[in-house]
Amino acid sequence: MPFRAKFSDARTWKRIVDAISVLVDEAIFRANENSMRVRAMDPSHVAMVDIYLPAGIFDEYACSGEVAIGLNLDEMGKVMRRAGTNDELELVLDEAASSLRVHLKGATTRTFRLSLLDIGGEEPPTPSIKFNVEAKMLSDALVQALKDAELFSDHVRVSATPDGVQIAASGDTSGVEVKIDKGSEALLELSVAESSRAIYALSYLSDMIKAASVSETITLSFSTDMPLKLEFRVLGEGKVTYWLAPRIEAE
Amino acid sequence: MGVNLRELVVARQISIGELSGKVVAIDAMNAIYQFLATIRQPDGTSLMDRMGRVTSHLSGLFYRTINFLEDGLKPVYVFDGKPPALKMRTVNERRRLREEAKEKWEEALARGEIEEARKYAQAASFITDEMISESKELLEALGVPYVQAPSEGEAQAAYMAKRGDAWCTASQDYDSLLFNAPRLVRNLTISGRRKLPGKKEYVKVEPELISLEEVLRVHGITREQLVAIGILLGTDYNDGVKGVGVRTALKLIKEHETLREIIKVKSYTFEVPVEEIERIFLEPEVTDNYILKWSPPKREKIFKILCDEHDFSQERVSKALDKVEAARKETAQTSIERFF
Repeated sequence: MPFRAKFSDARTWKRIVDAISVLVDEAIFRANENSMRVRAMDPSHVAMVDIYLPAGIFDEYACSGEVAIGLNLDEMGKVMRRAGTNDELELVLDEAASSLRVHLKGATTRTFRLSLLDIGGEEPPTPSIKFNVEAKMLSDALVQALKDAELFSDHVRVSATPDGVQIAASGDTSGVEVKIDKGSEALLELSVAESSRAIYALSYLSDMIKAASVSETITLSFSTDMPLKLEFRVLGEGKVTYWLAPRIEAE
Repeated sequence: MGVNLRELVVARQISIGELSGKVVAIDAMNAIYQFLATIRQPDGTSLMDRMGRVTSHLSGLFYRTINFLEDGLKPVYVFDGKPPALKMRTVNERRRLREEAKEKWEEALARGEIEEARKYAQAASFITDEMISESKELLEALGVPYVQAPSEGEAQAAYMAKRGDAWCTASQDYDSLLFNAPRLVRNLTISGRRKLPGKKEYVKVEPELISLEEVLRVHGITREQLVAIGILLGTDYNDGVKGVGVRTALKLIKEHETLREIIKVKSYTFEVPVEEIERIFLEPEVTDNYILKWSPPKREKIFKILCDEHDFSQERVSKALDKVEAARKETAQTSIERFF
């Protein structure tokens, strides 16, 4: 068996799959003996997701050599929506049948067989950016701020000074500004090398934040007119990172 | 026209907004031809100014480009140069069909059959040298770049996309895929709805994105093999093999791997050496000599061309330009690749 992994709570895997399907319909899961990783760029090349799941966060994990598991996330998502709250999940790669077996163990044991996709293409690199702002905050504060922004616009201006983070959106005549100040319970850590501001599309950001809100806290990094990096943890050492390219003033 | 790969390609619907901030290399002749064919009065008469000069191409080019700019696209129009010698047959055949259609249009008009007339009028559309120079002049005034291809415009557009100077090509024809464009967007230069031929019904037409890599991967073929399929089906440079459709062509190339082998096994004959047709697609004549720069529309210049010379409504043109100015103040989505 080249690859086998187990989560005692099937919902953990569902969240991981959901976090990727925010951006892509298909993805390659790359596994080796130490970890499982996914890196994918959305079809419009505006955003990326990078997922790192070390072997230790699984309840059981075995992988020999390097394996690439191409999956249709829509199909995987549908299967995971069939998982009960107390179901245990086991993933087993069946290379001979070119499929991934998904076992859901509750009162019964259900085995789903998903065919593997032959997805080509190079793995994209990650953006190399010097971030001037890094803020760790409560996910819910960000979720609420973006919901406020959605009332007025399809994009938000995110800015930060040493005093806090601000999120603003405006329509033709109306608008909203949300302040997440230093010292408030919503802002856990803030480091600002240089005051920065940038604009991001809500169509992407809202979905990302929604996926991230499974974690209580989110770390957000950005610089003026540079991509936004959004990072949250899964079961301690597991890490999901999103990158979102900014909207900038037309040249 | 071009190679019909419809059954072979995998197309994904996209919104124009998804192309925001991206450079789109538009097959100019293809776009202008569509404007001439579709922007017409119900009986098939083109839009004309008071001197009786056709203005359908200017109307289409202006309002369509305005929409692109408003959505944050960076259009660049690529014009055909001298067609490859092998295309002369196609060029002549098209001319014959147009002349035939023009006669039928006039006959239908005389009989008072409006629907028939419109159908033939569309088929009779042709592009004059004057239309091309007017179009280029209008693009200059709009602050939108154009590139003069040494030969086929689609080959040049594909080359620019392959080099990364453009994100995709835009045309109704599939040929730019054979010319190695990584991405092709169709239905971009036609309006949001298309009239069904012979009916008074319209269908909504959405832009679609086709990825060359995906087409090749799905069918397990190389680009050279895709070109071979094109040649078997028929291109602007050769007639296809009678009785060979997309499915058969795909099966043949997978079984025999190369066009040469297929020709040998099946004893197919072509009126021109296939090596020459292949060379047009695989080693097309293209140029590096272009500069892509977008600047604000020059209002006065545009009024002069459209309103003073060709009787466009000053109010409508002015409104359209206002929209672009408002959009220029807005922001454009960047691509994440820019930051790798």
